[in-house]
Amino acid sequence: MVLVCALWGGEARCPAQIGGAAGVGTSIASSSTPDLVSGRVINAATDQPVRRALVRLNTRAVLTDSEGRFRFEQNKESSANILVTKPGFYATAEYGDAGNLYLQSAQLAALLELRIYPEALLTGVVLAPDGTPLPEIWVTAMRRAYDDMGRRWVPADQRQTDSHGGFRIPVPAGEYRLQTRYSPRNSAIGEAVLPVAVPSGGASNTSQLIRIHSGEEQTFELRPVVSAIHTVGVSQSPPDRGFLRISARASNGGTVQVNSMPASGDETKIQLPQGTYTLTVRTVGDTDGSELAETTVTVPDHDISGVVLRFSPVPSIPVELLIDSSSSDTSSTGLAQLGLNLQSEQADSDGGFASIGLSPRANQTFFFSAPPGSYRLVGRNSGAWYIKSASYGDSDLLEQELVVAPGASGIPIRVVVSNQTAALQGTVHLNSDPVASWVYLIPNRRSAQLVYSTRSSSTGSYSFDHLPPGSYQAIAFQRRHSVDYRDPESLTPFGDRAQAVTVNVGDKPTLNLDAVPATEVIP
Amino acid sequence: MRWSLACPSLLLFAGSLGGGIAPAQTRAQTKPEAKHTIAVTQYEITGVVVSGIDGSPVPHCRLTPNLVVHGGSGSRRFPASSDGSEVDDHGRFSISLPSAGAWNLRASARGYVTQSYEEHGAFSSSVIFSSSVVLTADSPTIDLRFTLSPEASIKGIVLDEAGEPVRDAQISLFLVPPPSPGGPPSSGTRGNARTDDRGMYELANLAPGGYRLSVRAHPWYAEATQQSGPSVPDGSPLDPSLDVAYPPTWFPGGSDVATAETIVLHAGDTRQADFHLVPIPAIHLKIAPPAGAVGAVNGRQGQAFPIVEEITPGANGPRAVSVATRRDPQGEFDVGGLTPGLYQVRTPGQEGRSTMVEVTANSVGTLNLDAPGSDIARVTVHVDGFAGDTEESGDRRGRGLRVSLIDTDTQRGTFSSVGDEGGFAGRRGSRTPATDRTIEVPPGRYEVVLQGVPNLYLTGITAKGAEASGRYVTVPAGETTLTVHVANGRANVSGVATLDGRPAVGAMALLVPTTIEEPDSIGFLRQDQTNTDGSFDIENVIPGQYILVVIDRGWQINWGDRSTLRRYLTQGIPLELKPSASVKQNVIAQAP
Repeated sequence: MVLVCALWGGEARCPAQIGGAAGVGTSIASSSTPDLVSGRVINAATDQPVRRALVRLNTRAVLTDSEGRFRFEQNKESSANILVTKPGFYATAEYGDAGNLYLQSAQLAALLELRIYPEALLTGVVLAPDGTPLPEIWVTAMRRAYDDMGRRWVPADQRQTDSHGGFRIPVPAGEYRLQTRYSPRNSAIGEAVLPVAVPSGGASNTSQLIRIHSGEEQTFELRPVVSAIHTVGVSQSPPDRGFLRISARASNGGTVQVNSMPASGDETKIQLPQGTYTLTVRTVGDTDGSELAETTVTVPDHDISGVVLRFSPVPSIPVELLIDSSSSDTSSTGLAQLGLNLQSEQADSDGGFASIGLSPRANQTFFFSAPPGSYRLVGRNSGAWYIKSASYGDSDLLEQELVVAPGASGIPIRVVVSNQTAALQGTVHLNSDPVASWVYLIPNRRSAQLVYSTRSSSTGSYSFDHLPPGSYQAIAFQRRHSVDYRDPESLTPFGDRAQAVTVNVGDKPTLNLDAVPATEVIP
Repeated sequence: MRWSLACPSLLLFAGSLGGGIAPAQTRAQTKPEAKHTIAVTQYEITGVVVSGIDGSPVPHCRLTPNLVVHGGSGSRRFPASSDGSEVDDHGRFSISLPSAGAWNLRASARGYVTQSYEEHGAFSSSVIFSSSVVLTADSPTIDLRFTLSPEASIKGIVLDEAGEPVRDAQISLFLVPPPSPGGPPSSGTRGNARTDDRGMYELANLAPGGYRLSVRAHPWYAEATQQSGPSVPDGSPLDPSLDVAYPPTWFPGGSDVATAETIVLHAGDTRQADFHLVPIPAIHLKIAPPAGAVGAVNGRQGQAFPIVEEITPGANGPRAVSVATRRDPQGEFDVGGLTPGLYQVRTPGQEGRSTMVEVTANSVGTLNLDAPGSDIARVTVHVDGFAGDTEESGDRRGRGLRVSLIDTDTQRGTFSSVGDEGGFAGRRGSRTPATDRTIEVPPGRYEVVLQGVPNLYLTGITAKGAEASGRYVTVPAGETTLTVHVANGRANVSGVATLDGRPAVGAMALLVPTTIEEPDSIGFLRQDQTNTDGSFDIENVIPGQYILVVIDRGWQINWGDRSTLRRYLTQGIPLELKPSASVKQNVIAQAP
């Protein structure tokens, strides 16, 4: 057995395990194992060969020569996991994909062309309003990731600014948001540096995201607000919650997390820079007794006191599961299997999308503990069951947002599931050859699950066994292609390969697809 | 006054200079209670901040005062307020302070080294000397000329053998202090940097002085760096061209610290220091699993993988290295990716299963964790004269006495009495007195340093199987026993230094044992810097015979020659320090 763990400078970095990603291609009955596996490594953005790239074939490894070529002689592998690594490149720009290729003997016998993607660079400088460079500020690149359940922000990397306020963050191509972390006392100016983000905190418009391509560099000038910090006296109503962790959201959407200091008298002291904030404090009770306080405070150029936090219970919304009358079977599904959660597009403390999962009660019932706001309900299929409808009062939650009012409690969300599903099958081709690929079905009508995806086998065949009946856009990609499929523009560049299909209960029509080749999708 | 650097790795050296306790002390010479004599006193520091190069005013400079308060076994700094004070366009400042006392005044400005008043930071790797600004009811205001040194920096690029940038290489900066009156100074880290995606790094805000640089990196393609896929039970043979490692590399390129160039930085200098790393074949260390640990620690296989950590000079203990550990069918471990050096090997969860191993280019054989290697010195330390918890000064915070062996000649490392965990002591505070502990070290000469109990001091060492002389011991490979004789009651010396009837400000105060040139001397030279009122304070001194001297502008003297110190000693003041004595002695400062 092999244990490898790179520990470097105290920072543990255990590389992703190879072979973890799904790669269930049915193997072609291979006649012979190729004695030689060889090929070239190509920069996908420039089509130039990449020298000194490490090509791994199962447990063997070799560096490419000056022409990007590699050779594995005396090969004994009839099928192989191939992975290319090279500093400054990614084997794939897809989030959550290590970039392994699973090849059968027939494919191994051919001259391989392995394309790797140069990283993108987010660079820039963080400056005080007067132009003073701000060193030692953490800058985080948050990446927008998409999956069947929707979209979310994941931290891609973070770096500290240097003595000139500069930063460089290499990232995979994709959609990003850059944000700085609150610094209560910066060494250069002796004052607090407030967080700042690009695009700014409140923006949920996708057109404002930073979109960056492989090999591209984009430069930003971040100008956070700087201010002296002052003490704010906070009292609690009802009192006695002790230590508080408070998030203070500034008007630009940036959030400052502050801890309370030991209380003197009845007031708890916190420190905040000058400015106007929405203070939010949430307590977690033993059961579902979570409480929330929110208030607005303006910190002038001196210490203040008398801020009162009034706590009230966080709205608790029960969720009920109903079986559609037309369902055939007796054995049903459970709420916990449907992956239900509420997604808020209001930037949370990390600048990401807040997601609230189901909380269980002791008596096998479930509820959402959701602070007032607007949410979208998402969920997924569970076996043969799909979410046919979901409602909250008069709201159709598949079409409309869930609006939680302050003090709202008791009104349930009713989720109706059905197992009256349709199916779809077919074969994916690339240049007339069957090919392993990713198949995506995008519902035309809004549904709890945003997209249905599967992989075709190495013989090109795919099958969806349980689909909500209705109309879909279907498309196949040679490599995984996770984007915001809710955006109608997402399929525009591949328009001729997308096909419309309608499936009815009990049907399993055949739909053959032409895959979009990997070379056409340069991230 | 003097301050230890915050870096924990240096505290041990600070201890050796300062007499065996970690934090350094400063005493406010004048007590704040003097204020009751005057109803309202305005305490104020005014002055101008100027550049050390041409005396021009430094604009946009921030000054932060901190009250230096003596108490307990150390002193602390208390900020006067959350804000500092900013100079005007002519570099002038005026800071109102709430009380009398000794104030540490720190200045920071863009493009300048952040410094305390009259700071001499490059004279020791472990302590920083500066002058406190002393305000009293009689002299509540003072006007200063605060000289700031333009910052120097080192930047460069780290390239691999193919000329490609090395990412995430760790650059360590070591200060090389000038010779000090106490003898050869010790080097210590003064900064760290990591290369970016271009292989570039920068070390900014450096004070003038001599520095050495080292880089630690791993070939990105090497087996120990790359993950090795799913388990390889048969341990497929490695491609030798990929089974490589970079040795620690000192600027300009050697792997031995003796080949390191000392980069001399003057105020405002920017130096380029590039590295070209050359890989060497990685060394494999074979480790036999400890008896009883094979495949069944807590019933879970794989738990007993040994942890291999590198002992690096100037670091505060072993540091994790990037290794690839395989286990062959016989249960023997193969740790790859190593370069020549000293390593500590331990087994997680196994008490005391820890050993030191010297890895060389042609290391062969198997390390047996149950039977320590024959080329390592196992030193059993017995402490004589330590009464532990019964002592008033001892162990109030639950910290016991720790004995460390410091390789002061080659500065290879600091080895402390082994704690319960089998690692370096200090993590787990030991509640029992540090008696009969075992320390594993490479054979050689070591300074014995006591830590953890401030008032305790060394009176002598007797050794069985080793050679002891003064504070030093020379240990051979194999088993040896040291008896460390200790006593309680360190002494203090304080006073005021004058020059031509006025306070000698920023002068060098030296307390020199009369035995300093004898090889078996237990005492060692102690040092302080006078404050703005000429006061100095040297605490926790080992009792004995000393000569006290104060030298004006002593920082400018070349102390490379022992005879230099002798010249000043002839005019010094002899002092006999009895245990626990507090001696006040005013001194006339000598000219340099």
